Amino acid sequence: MKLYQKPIHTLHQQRLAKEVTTEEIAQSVLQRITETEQRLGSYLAVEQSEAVMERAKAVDQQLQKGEEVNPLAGMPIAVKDIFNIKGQATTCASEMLKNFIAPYESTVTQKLLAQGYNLVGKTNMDEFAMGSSTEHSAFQVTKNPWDLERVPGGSSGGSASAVAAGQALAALGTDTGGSIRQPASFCGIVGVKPTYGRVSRWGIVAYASSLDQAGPMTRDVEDAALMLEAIMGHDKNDSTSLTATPPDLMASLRQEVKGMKIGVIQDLDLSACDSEVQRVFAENLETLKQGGAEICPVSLPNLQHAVATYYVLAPSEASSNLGRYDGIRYGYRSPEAKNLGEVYQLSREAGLGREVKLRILLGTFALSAGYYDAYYLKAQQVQNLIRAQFQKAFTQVDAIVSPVTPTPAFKLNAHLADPLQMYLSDAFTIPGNLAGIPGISVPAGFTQEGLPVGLQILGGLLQEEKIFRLAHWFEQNQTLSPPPLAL
Amino acid sequence: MTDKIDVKKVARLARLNLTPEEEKDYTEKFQQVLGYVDQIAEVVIEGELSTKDESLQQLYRPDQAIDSSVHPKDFSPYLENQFFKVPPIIE
Repeated sequence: MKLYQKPIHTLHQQRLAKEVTTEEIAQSVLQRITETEQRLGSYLAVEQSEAVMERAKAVDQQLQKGEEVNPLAGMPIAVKDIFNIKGQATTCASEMLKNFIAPYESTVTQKLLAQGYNLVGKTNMDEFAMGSSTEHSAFQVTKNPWDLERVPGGSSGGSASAVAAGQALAALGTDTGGSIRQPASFCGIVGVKPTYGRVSRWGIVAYASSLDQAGPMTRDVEDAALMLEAIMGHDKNDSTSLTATPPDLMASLRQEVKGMKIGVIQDLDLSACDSEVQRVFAENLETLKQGGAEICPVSLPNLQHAVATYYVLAPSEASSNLGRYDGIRYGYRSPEAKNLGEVYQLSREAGLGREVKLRILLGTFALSAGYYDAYYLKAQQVQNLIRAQFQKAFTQVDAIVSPVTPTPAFKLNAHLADPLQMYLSDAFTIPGNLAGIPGISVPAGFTQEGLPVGLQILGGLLQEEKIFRLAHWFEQNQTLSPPPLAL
Repeated sequence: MTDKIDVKKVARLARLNLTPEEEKDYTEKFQQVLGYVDQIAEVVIEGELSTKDESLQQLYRPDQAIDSSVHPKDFSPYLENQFFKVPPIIE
């Protein structure tokens, strides 16, 4: 097994045992980027190799001196291009921010810096995180490393493909309607959306602020725990970040699944899913049963309205959040604008992509006079209904499992002309954002064609320990035989 | 729930310029997405269901002026003598 294929915690143990150096790890990942990036297109910007190697070398020197070193120190990690990294471009894969240089550091990357992480590059995404395939990037298309004719999912598609292909050991993503969990599932890696507020949003470009949440995308569950423990916690710069004590995730990994009550949503119609997804999910339930978990039906009658609810609330917030891109203070300004009105209109016309404009229009409409009550207010009520139903369900069970997506990764261009089909690929992940609850996507099987399929585990508010416990046990007790990657 | 939507009017509200081709495309997609979204009208809300999320914490802090480490010159290409320069407003 090559170094770039291994999880961070394993490599850390190996370097403590002096079997490998951080420089060798960094070299392996950089080499892998050189070999694959042209075909894969995960990155919008890759760090200078010298800088990455130097940071790795510094960690090796600390180790040689016998100093204590964090597991994440010196490890090559990728960051979605939605996080501000001071002095670097934050493009959000948009023409609007193509030349925007972040003047300050996001809290999340600041926390990773404190652990000594080794930034390897910034990854491609759907423009302003709006999309489920990364095809809405203004700059490039990212491919799925299992099949280069398929999408990696989105919006954190570049982060997912980079980790799956070994172009980074782990990555940061953001999840507003499934943008961590869906690409993680499509690319066969682990992705976590924490409870809303666990992770600070300071310095992350806003899409739908009441739903946006950052999280890790990693090779396995233990790495996800390491990363999430590093980035959680209250931040005075984000009043929605939680003051609750962060959980001990590493401890939760040592526990059994025996005796856990696991809910299966009886209102979820799986017959519309890809038959292979159904098969994998049935096998997953069998694995959990054999481990001593009790499978119980739970009722979430309004789950069927989640996608519709989301496509009122998220665009409404987006239309407000993206009002700031007006060509006045920063971002793209049209050189053809001759008066103030034209500065707004022409800059936004040229600077924003098609899907972003569609969502701004939807949101502007839902918030406009005469329609507000029927759309925005009603959607909030349905959201509360869904949230209450989840809360009730979590009084009966410890976690709820489902497939992450109705299908495995789809072909490039398959849904580009049909927004609704694209939206429906997030049907199982969106409810978690509406309810604010944590969710994790774990590799769960492969289709006949060799595409990865994921299992989603949802937990109650602040119940990250339970979903990590279940996810880790599941990961360790299933038999996966992954086919080779396409590169 | 929705009659024919005037996408051009919505675009004006959103300060978006649309080409005639975009207007046609967005009108179609708008109808399609709203046609789907309209299902939320069927959901019966019983009793007083608040639109507020009770689980959200409310954090307050005093209003305090602080020195920001970020200055417009760090991010704006349109700055001139401390002001953002724009085209003339009065014609």
